Amino acid sequence: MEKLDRVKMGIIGCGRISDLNILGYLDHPKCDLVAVCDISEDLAKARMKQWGAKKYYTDYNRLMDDPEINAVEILLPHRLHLPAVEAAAKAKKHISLQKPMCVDLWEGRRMIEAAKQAGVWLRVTENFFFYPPYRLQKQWLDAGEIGEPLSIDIRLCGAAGGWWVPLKTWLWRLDFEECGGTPTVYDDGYHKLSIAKYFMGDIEKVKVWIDFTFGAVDTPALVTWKYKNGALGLWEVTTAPNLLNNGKYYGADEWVEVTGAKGVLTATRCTSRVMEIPPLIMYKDGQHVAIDDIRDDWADSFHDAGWEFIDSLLDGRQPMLTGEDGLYLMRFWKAIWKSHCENREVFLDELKEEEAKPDA
Amino acid sequence: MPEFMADLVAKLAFRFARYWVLNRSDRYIARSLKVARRIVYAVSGDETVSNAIREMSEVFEEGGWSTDLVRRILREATPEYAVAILRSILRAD
Repeated sequence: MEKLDRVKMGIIGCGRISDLNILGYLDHPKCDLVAVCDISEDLAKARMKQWGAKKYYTDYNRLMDDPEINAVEILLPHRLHLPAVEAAAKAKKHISLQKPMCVDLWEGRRMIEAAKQAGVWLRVTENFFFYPPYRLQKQWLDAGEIGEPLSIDIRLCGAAGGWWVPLKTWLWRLDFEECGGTPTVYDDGYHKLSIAKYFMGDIEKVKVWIDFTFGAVDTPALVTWKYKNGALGLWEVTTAPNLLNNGKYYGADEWVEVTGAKGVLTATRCTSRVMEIPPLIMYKDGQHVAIDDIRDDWADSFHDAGWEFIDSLLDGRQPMLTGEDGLYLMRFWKAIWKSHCENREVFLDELKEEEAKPDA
Repeated sequence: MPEFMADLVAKLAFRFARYWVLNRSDRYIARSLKVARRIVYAVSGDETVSNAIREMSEVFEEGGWSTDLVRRILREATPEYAVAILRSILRAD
C-alpha cells in the first residue's frame, strides 16, 4: 500500500475517551487534524475549537465524503462500528477503530473484508498494548529474562473515584443489548484479554465464574484460561466501593504478573496508580530489579497508540493490532461468555463458525 | 462535599430515589427532576450536583431501555453498596 506524505485525520465520536485518543494525533509532526464529528453539534464545535481542527460535522457520512481526510479514528458505541467501518472503507479512508471491535463475530469478519477490498489499513485500537511498562515487560519476557513463561495473573480492582463520565454513556455500557456484552469482562475486559494474548500467545480454552452486582455489572468474576503452549492464565475482577482511587481516569487499576521458570515480572499499575510503588518489578536469581524511570501515565499508552498509527501510514505498513487480532480477542470474549452461560470449558476454536455471515 | 454530609445525603437519596423511581412514570420523574435541579442550584449553587440531575432528567425524558435498566439496577441494588458508590460520587471533585 502506498505511503502517505501526511496523515489528515477525521475524528468520529467526541465523547469522554476522545480526550485521550486524540493525544498522539495532536503532537505528531506529520498529522493534521482536519475535522471532528459528533452527533451533538455543541460537542463537535467545542472539540473543534479545543483541538484546533478546521471543521466539524454532525453526520459521519459527510465526514467520509471530505476529500481532504485520508484517515479516521472511530470512537463510536459498539453497535455503530460495522456501518462506520464500512462507510470509511468505501470512502478509502484508513481506519483506526476503538475496541471492542464488534458485537458479533461476523461483523468483525465483514470489517476485515471491507478494508481489504477497499485497499485501506484497519487497526483495532487498544491502548494497554502501548502502555510503556507493559511494552518493557513484554520485551523482557521475549528476551527470556524470567525463563519460559508459565502463568499470567491479571487483577482488576474497580474502586470509587475517577473522572466524570456522562450518565448516558454509563447506561448504554451497562445494557447488554446496547453494549453488545457486559461492561467489565467484555468492554473493559478487551484490554486485559489483549494483554493476555500479547504476552503469552494463543489461547486454547477458557473456564469462568461471573457474578453480577446490581444485576448489570459483571463483578466479581474469575476468568481462567489455558494457552496452547500449556501455560495458564487467570484474571480476577473485583469492585471495592469504599476504596478511594485518586487516579485521573477511570476508578480502576490493574496488576499484571507473569511467572516464568526462573523469575517473576510484575507491572503494578496501568489505568490508575493505587499503589505508589515502581511500575515494573522483576525478581530473578534472588534479586529484585525495580524500574522507576519509565513513562507510566495511562495517557502515555493512548499517545503512543496514536503515533504508531500515523507512523504506520507514513511507512505504508499495517499498523499494530490488525483486524484479525481484534477478531481473535472477540472470539476470546465469546468463549468467556459461552463458558459463563453453559458453565463449562469452552475452546476458542468452537467459535470460528460464528464468523460466517448470517443468512439474510 | 464533606464526608459526613455525603454519607447522609447518599443514604437519604438512595432510599428516596429507589421508592420514587420504582413507583412513578418516566415523564413524571423527568418533570420533577427539572424542578429539583432548579431548587438545588438556587440553594447550593453546586454545578456538579445540578449537572448530574440534568443528566438524569434527560435520561427519563427519553425513556425506553435506559430507564428500564435504571429500574432493574435499583430493584437489585444492595443498599450498603449503592450508598458507598453514591457517597464516593458526591465526594468526588
